[in-house]
Amino acid sequence: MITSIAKLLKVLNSESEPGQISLAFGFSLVAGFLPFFSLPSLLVWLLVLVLRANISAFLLGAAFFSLVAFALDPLFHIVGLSLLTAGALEGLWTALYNSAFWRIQKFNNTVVMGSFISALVLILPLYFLSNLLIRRYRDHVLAWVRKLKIVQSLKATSFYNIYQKVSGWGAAS
Amino acid sequence: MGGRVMKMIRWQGLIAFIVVVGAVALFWLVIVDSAVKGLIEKAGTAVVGAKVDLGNADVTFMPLGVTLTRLQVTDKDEPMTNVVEVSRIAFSLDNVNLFRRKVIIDEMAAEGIRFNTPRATSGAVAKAPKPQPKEEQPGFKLPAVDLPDVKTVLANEKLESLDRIEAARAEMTSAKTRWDQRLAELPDSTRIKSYRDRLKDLKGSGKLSVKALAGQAKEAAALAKEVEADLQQVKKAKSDFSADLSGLRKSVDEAARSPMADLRRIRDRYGFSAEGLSNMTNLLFGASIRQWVDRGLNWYGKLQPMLARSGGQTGAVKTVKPLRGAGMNVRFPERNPLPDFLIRKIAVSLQPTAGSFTGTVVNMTPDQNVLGKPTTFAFSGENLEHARSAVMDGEFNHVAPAQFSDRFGMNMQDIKIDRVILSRSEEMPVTLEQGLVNLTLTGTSRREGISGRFTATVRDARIAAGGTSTNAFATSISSALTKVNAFSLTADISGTLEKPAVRISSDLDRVLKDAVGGLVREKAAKFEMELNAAIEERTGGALKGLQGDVAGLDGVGGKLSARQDELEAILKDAAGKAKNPF
Repeated sequence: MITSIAKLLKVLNSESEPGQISLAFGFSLVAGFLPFFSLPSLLVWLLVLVLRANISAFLLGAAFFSLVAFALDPLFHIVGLSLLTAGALEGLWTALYNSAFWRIQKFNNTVVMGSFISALVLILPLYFLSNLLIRRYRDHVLAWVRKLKIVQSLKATSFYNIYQKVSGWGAAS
Repeated sequence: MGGRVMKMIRWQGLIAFIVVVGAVALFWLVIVDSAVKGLIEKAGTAVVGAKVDLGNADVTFMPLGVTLTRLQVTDKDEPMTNVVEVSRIAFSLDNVNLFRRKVIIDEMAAEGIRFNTPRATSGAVAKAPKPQPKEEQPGFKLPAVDLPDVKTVLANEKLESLDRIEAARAEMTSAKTRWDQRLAELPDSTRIKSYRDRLKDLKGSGKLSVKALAGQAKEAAALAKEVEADLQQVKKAKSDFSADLSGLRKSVDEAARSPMADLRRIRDRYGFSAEGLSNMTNLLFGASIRQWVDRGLNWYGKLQPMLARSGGQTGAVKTVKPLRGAGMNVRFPERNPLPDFLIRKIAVSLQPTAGSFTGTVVNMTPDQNVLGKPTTFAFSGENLEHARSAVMDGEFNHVAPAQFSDRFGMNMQDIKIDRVILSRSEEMPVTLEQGLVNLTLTGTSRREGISGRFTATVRDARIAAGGTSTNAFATSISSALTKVNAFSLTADISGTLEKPAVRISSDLDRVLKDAVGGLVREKAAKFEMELNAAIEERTGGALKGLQGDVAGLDGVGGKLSARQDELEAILKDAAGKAKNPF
């Protein structure tokens, strides 16, 4: 737990753009909610690697959202079931069901559908929210911490310099 | 713009992704054969409940196909034996339908199928099953041959005839007393004599005056009237006696027949008849045939999951819980419905040591209601090692699961029999040493139950029968069986899968019945003769007395008739005198 918090702080305090970190969090929501070996999940991995999203943030977020998904599975099932059994959408689902490509995605599984829809709905709000929160953190919290005398004293020590070099603290991902 | 786009792309990441995906795909290509092999062994073991071993699996992608070599399926009940072993199975898969999670195989070839082959290692997967004690055949039990002792039999049996005779005698005695009393009440010889005297007086008076003649006529009329009254009384008594005597004779006749009824009753209970040997075929073959029927039905039961699955696909939307329990799969109507698993045609080749035995299975699927066609099969073989020819065909029709109808037929010609033990009884061991058999088997299974007929015709038979028993029956039966060189046998099967009933008949019954029938008849006749003499001894005296009583009662009738005749004669004279006094 402490290690995870340390890693999160490392990411937040790094010189990565807030947008890169927020994008990573957004992608991690999809990767965490959906089964690992699914096409959307693989696509997300490709995007994280190809685009300049913060990989550390992505990994942290994926782990976190995987845990959240365990708890939210019953909710995903309810959402997925209501969507898949909605009369108005039966035509659409039937067409997809008769397509080999969509059958591979297991879209007709209630948890898969519910988690996918939930991820789609939450990805943009999460992106913007985390973007806002990161900027606020850096502008207010980090700035305040940096001003503390004890922090300034620590930063002046050679021990801190060595630690910075070894851990790569502050290096862009 | 182009530079900006290039800046956004992390080329190392893209390369890393391609390398990782490529490595996974390559790894999968390398291990897929082992993975398929492991999957088949694991799934097969779970289904069968005993080890399923596969020599090798070879997966090809262009086209998509699988070749399996040396598949061994352990017999759950005998872990050191394979219930079936297949040298090679090869099939191709429909790519597109595979993506739709449907395993559709157009054609599968299964070669070198053998049954009951030995295993090098045990195929038990759980605690070894307790070895089932081999069901002991009841063997051939000979009927009892000792004659029971007549004295002992009669000591234990109540003779109903004695009671009946005594009852008849009591009835006769009571009737005699009753009729003696009634005779005393009727006009007797004294009264009749007085009538005669009066009539004589009337005839001999000699008076010729009109007054005297008129007086005579009047007296004659009065006499006639009295005689008439007495005559009616006697006639009534005679009529009553006749009816009474008829009833008594009936009782006497029944009493006279009752010793015979006792004889038959006791003879049937203690004696024996050839009828008891009418189902000897059932004793000889019954246990073996029942075992074969049970084995066949057991195999049929094992096929059921491959023929029908409950909750098949329908046109409506339905939810199905997948095995892992992670959410639910919602099924939607398919435009071209296909079963989840279908093998359109299996070409089968069995591996006998001589000859060939091949066949095809068509449309094997547990979702016949989706496919709309039943599973059919047909096998044939010629010049086999132990038979001249064999033909087998059938149909498993579960297109409408609620009204399923399965049919099976088999015909095998000239099967060479070599030492088949029919009875293991120590008293009467029977072995079919050699022979040629033609077998026919037909069977159907429906929701209502099963029915079938098994017919075997044996010729050029050589039967060895009889052990060390000196029992007269055993000797007769052994002698008869060893002379048999041809016979036929029919078994009719009915009932349900859980409780089948088998009824066996054969022309051996007639042979055996004839063989022992004479012996049985001789012994039965001797017993009956001795029993008859003993019963006669006990009932003869009482019966004789009864017949004497009947003769005594007949005398009453004679007396009544005599009185009636006398009174009629007197009446005739008196009436004549009354009409014509001259």
